[in-house]
Amino acid sequence: MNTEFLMQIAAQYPHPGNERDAAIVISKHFDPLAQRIDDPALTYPAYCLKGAAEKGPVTAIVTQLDEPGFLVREHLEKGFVGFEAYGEIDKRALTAQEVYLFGKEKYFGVIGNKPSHYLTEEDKKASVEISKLFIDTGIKPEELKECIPVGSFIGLKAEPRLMRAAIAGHGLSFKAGLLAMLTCVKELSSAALWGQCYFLIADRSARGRGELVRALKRYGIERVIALMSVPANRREGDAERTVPGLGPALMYTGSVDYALTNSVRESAEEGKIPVQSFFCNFDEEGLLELVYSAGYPCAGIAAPIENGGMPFALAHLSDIERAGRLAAHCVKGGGCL
Amino acid sequence: MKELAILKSLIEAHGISGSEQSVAEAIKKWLDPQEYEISQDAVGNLYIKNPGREPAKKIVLDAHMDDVGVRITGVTQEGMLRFHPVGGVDEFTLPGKAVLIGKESVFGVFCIGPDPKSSPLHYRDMFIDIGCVDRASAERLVKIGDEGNFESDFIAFGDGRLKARNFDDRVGCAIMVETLLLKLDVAYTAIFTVREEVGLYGSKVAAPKEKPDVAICLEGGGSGDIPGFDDDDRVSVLGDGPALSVRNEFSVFDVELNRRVMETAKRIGARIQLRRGCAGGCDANSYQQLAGSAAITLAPPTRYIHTHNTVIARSDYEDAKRIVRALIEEFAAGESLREEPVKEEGYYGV
Repeated sequence: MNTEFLMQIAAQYPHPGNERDAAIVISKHFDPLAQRIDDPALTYPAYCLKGAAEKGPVTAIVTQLDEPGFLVREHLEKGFVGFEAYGEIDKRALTAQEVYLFGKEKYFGVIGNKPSHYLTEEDKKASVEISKLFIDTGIKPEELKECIPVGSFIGLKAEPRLMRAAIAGHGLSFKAGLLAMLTCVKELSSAALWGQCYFLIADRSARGRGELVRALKRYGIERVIALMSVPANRREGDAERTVPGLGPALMYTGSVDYALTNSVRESAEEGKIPVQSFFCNFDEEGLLELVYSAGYPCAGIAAPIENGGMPFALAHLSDIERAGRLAAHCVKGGGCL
Repeated sequence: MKELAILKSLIEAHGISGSEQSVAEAIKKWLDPQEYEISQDAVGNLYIKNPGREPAKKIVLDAHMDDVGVRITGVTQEGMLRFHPVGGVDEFTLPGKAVLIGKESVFGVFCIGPDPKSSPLHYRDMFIDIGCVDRASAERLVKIGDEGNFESDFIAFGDGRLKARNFDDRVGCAIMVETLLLKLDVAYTAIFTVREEVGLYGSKVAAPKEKPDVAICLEGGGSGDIPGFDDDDRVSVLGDGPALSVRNEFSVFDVELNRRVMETAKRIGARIQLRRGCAGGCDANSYQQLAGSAAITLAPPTRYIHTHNTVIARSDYEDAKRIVRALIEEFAAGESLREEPVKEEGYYGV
């Protein structure tokens, strides 16, 4: 596992309009491993590895990169701002959470709520409503509008940490796939390939998702492996049970190609890579649905993420690495795809 | 931040209720043992006697060293930690936030599954992930009974705001250390107590032992100073000065003594406010009930109290220090503890 890349990407806040720094990190680590494609339609650089056979199978490894957070909705008294969720945020984790507000500069704030000493039992039972929360910026009210205009992005502050077998940090649900992709590129860059393999990273804006689909067509992609994440779930006997540390999950959702997914499973067995299975009618992340709806057979390999949508999400490094290795093994094997 | 070095150092010391020794050590580092009489009792309360002329009234300053947090109660097969809250921790503030466990400060994260069994969230539905994959590897790092301190750094932000996990009550401890360093020529005792958050246990030992005439208790006091609340629900307002308690769940404070304190603050030009609201108890209750002392509680208003990220106004901290100094000097000079009521200005309207 390339921990330098891991920590650098985990520290980014790649929300729409702020992708440049993440693109630089991607470029630094991917450029030496594969042929870079500067596709102006895509937010992030794309990469290609060409095999011996010009007309061999053309596979795309795809992922999405994003940062869930909030947007400033309004300016309130005493330097407080009201906000709305942007992306998949777990509302249960918000009280007294630290944030960064990306306004004129990067400002610090704390999400406020009524003091716990004064909450009634009813208050405690009620679900957290974002409309009742506020961000305490401490900025003078007369300066607030200029410093942090309405619409500014707000990210959760949770400095990434390596913790033995895992990494903890913000936005890992939408970064785990990219982390796995680097392992995949590295494995394939030194392998003898038969066909061609493209590596495409989409941002999660409507435009970015549309451009991903158009890129699949542009590059003549025949099949897609999506590297992604899935919420960890430790409930025994549950169809959606995925436990961090036990291997990536193969996605059996309503929008995957089951034959392709089963062939990925065979590759896992052949490569002795432990996997889990995630069964659900709906596609958690939307990536599989996007690709499948565009007419491409697609399989999903997902790292289980604990606390997805919370300030500190956790991913096990072995799951990320195995997801990347498994994708590489599938491409190298060729036959199963 | 240099001038906040004392506060920062005490904030960074780990010390949930029952594990306060690191805080005591951090306090002692600022004070030359040649200049102060320093002792600890069997339960861990730290007594620091300031040398000087004997005052007309025996004075004690009090702040508690302990902080809310969690204690580890078990390790699962999958290497997850079970825990129990220490002090008034509301579980709904924990998911997704970090904790430092034991003497080695092992980093962990409070986790909760996608569908907790209970509403509101209960700690039994949660666990702490320290990045281990099995019980054996987790038990090499963490022991049952280890303390868990909320992980949160000390930050100055906005227009004079300070953020940290435990202004309740390291802000009180810092005010006392800074007051001691003034080396006032008055004999008084600063008592840094233990286990306030779990039942005022430290002060229940210290109060009858010291039996002061007057106890000045320094706290980090909860504030609802956020949009959407009316004045009473706000309890106290950041930037309007430290808040003087009128009552709490266990006691009513001395109206005349409070008036005296308000007059003193006014005299020195420090902001002060009365605290509206009466949740919980504090060490002042022990001095009143177990030592027969006159007691006040002065508390810089603290937003989001008992969470990972509490916020105070620096100006309230500075005003509290000035008021404490003035009170010591007044009480030492034999000023009456109480003033006659001021008829033209309503007490609650000050």
